[in-house]
Amino acid sequence: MRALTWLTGLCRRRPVELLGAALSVALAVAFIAALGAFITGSRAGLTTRATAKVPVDWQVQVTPQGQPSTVAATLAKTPDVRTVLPVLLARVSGLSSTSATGSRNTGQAYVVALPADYARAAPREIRYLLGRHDGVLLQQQTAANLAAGPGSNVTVTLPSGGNATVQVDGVADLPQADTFFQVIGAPPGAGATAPPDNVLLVPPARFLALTRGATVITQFHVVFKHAPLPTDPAAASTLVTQRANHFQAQVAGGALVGDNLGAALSAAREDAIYAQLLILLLGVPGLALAAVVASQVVALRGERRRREVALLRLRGARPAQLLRMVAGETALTGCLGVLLGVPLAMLAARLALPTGAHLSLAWTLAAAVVGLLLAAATQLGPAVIAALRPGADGISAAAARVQATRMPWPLRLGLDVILLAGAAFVFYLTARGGYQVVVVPEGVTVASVNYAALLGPALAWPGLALLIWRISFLVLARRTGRFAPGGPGRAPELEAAAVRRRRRVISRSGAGLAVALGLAASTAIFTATYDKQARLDVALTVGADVAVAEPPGATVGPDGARAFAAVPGAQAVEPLQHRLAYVGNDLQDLYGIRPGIGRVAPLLDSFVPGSTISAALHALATTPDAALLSAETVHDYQLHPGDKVRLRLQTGADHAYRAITFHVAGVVKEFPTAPKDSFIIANASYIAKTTGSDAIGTFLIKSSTPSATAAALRRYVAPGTQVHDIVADRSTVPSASGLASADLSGLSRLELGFGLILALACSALALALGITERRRALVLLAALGATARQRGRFLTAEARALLAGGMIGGAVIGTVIAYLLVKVLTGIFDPAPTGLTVPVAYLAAVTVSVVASSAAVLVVFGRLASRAGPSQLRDL
Amino acid sequence: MSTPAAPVVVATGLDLSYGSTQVLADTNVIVEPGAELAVTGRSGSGKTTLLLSIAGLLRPERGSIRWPGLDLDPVVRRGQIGLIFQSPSLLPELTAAENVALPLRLRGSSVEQAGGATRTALEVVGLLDAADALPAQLSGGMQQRVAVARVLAGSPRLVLADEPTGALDRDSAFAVLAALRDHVTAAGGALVVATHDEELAGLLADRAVLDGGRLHIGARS
Repeated sequence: MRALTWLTGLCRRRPVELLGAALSVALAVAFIAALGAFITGSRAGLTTRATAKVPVDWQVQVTPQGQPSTVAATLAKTPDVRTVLPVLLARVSGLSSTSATGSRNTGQAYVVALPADYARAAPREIRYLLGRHDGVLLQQQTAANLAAGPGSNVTVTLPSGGNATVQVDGVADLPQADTFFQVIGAPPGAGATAPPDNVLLVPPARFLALTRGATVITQFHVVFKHAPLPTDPAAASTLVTQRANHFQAQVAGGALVGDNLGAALSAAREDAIYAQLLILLLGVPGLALAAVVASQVVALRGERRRREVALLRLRGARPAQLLRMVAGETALTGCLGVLLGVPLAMLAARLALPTGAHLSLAWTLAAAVVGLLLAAATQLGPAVIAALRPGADGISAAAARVQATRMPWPLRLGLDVILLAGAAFVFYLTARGGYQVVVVPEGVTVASVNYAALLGPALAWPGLALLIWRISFLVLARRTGRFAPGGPGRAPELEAAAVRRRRRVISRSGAGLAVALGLAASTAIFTATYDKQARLDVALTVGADVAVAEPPGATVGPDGARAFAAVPGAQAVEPLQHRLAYVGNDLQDLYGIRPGIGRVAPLLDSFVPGSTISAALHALATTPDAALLSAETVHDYQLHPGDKVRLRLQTGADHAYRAITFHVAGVVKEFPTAPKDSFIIANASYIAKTTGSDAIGTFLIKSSTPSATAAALRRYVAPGTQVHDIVADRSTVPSASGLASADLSGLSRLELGFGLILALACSALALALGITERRRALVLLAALGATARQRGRFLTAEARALLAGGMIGGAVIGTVIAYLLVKVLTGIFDPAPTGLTVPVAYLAAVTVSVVASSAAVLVVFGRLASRAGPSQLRDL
Repeated sequence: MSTPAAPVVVATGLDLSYGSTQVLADTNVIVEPGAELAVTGRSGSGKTTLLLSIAGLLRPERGSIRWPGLDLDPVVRRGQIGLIFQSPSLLPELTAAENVALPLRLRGSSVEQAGGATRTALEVVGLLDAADALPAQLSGGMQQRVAVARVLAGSPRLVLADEPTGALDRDSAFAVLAALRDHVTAAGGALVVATHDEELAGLLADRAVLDGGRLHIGARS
């Protein structure tokens, strides 16, 4: 009964405090439930995305001792098989064609027989460019080498010595040639083999006639149903690998499996681990912060709660009665928090997470339990301690307890220094290990995760929070008000004295706000840095905002840029030559550039180790025959800057390879559109002059509206020309980690949203409850003749101290934690960032929001609290 | 022949109720300069309400309160009225000296002026040694003496004291009352004390009993 009276009284007399405590619990509940929705959704997404990228799931190659029919029959019995496509491959001595410009021959070539429905079943393997989709098709590069197209005759030189001539029906591209022509059964880590340059695709019926005398490889390309796969990539990878092993055991050496699906899922395990790390590194601090906010809200009432409990005990209340009263209050706060938190989580999931994300029952229940526990831990705990305080002396001491101004015990123990020292040590070890946090060896089912590396940020979070608390505490202890503006009716020294004596509460709230702002800032900086690097990654792959890649054999010169410059959104166009050049026997990509390429393409100093990109471009511009070579080439051929190097390039007139002299001007690591390994950068004008051809491979376009520009270009360009833009390719170009940007942005939105709300809650609730707590003092000030402005000054002095500590601390925590996150999660960045990217707009919005909400709270609550009505005055 | 000084407070026909409880009913009171009025009455009879109304902090539903002997400017007038509350009512985060100096500083006194007045007032109530103590470090009686010092330091013309000696021992209570009487005598002001204490009330020149919302001058409760 007493408990009910107590609760009713609380609801009537202190609704703001009760609602504040419930809201802080609601935030924690909402955050956990929404995070659960993210985790559930992202795991399933990783498997789906990994499997969607696979062109064909298995390439089963019949061994010499195997029987195709037996293998096909076994495959038919394998679970979840959707389609089995028989594919035949044979290597022939060469291809040749004759046209008006003369005869052309290639070296060894592959003849491949594909069933008629191959493209429908495995659409990612083949892309039709010109002519018919059936019949005899030339691979795009082969068509360029032979200067052949639909209607041309191509002669196949057979290993047996004879020839067979076919008419070409169309030209197609094999975008996944690397996996299509992989060596099946190669040991893990054997390295990829280059796909053939010359390929002729034919219907199965014509295959034998065109490969007489050649060794025929029989493969079955298998497509599985992906829906039954486990949503966890690791589990899916294990299942597929076991299925492949089982199949190979069944055929008893009759076939080998090229497990593309297993390999993709194995790679996705790394993504899954990084996703887990992201959740740990971004999610757990958010959860901890929600708990901190809840405990702070309760702690703000702590002093009064202790006095109330002590007074009730003085008046004869038994500990059991007190506990029942506080337990009822805790249950009310917890239940109200859960009731408010669940709809808040639904709203957060709807707003922040990708479409389709929804709350799971298990996570929502877990969130509710955590909310109730949080309410119990923060409210019941201190009350229990106060209620069980033995002896009347202790009780009366608590009732008349002086507001504590002693340094809090974690700071007296130097916990901040200990935690930060630990974080620094762990970070040093991680840095020494090259930030190798996740190691997923190919072909090994067990992934290695250096969870110890997470200790760096994990220790830094509380360490920094405590350090901010310590610094705020020490700074506030020295406040005298000497530097505050004086004048009639002002009492800066008394305002400062009040702040100084309340420094324990203010510095604790300031540290809480710093953690909230630090969470928002670190997440924002991390996300902005990731986003910038991901954009850079895509821009490096595409080459610029928009890129127009001419088909092989095209002879469009640099003047073609003029036509593209007129397309809507195009701000600048730069032609980029793309040729192939022999360095010794090694065929490498050669890019001919003009000095102005930096206008359109992303160029970074990190591309040229030991130099700057402007210096490298200057060296090229001032030396016509200068060339930048990859580090690998410089190393392999023992070259040095200034050395002369002779490259063999195809001439424009007769397409024959001719030696041309270049001078090594430096080393280049990366370049837009260039492959990761070996390539050469030289002057376009020199290449055009020495080869007699100014044909451009790609036009790079800077655009303010990449999607619109690309769309306009697609309508404009000739068939076979490819148009890429960074917006569309963002979803298709795989990053180094393959981590889905959609996932990270979902988590980031969740974090940024909650970071802002928690920051607002920290500042607004701390101020509002602080004002409510000081209501009597404000009424007294009013009774003593203080004007509303004078009363406001006492509050703003406190608010300024809280906000200054919180914001400066937040900036420090945000920067340090973002730096640690970027370093520890280096594996998900490609290229690795050279520095942090600060999202000024978001951080400014958070700062303005916190200041504005604090000002609003001060004005509204300040007025309400200092209203000196009859009941308040009689209470004095 | 000198002109008689104007009354400090003239309250006429005051009506004030809390919900259905009528606390003041057509209450009239005139406080002349030099007056020492003890207002007695049962608990809940409206003594505190009457004092708060006279101080201008509560607005009666009917009737009028004028302060002919005080300044017309309400802000200045507020400084001429000293209020002592039933409980000590000190700001917990300020020391005894800071609490005493606070109203002076808010009214525009310099730090030095406020400091001098504070020391004097604390000396009068015998708490100069406790100037730097926080309220929570003082006993209830000491806190009440600090609240008295806060009023004395402001040199008000009208002192309104609500049970000012409730937390004090006998000797301290008499000492505090003496200090207040000395102050109003010196300032040519007036003292109104709401109290239960018959003995204390007997020390003051005038007394009135608040009963049923009406003030009976000269009566004994």
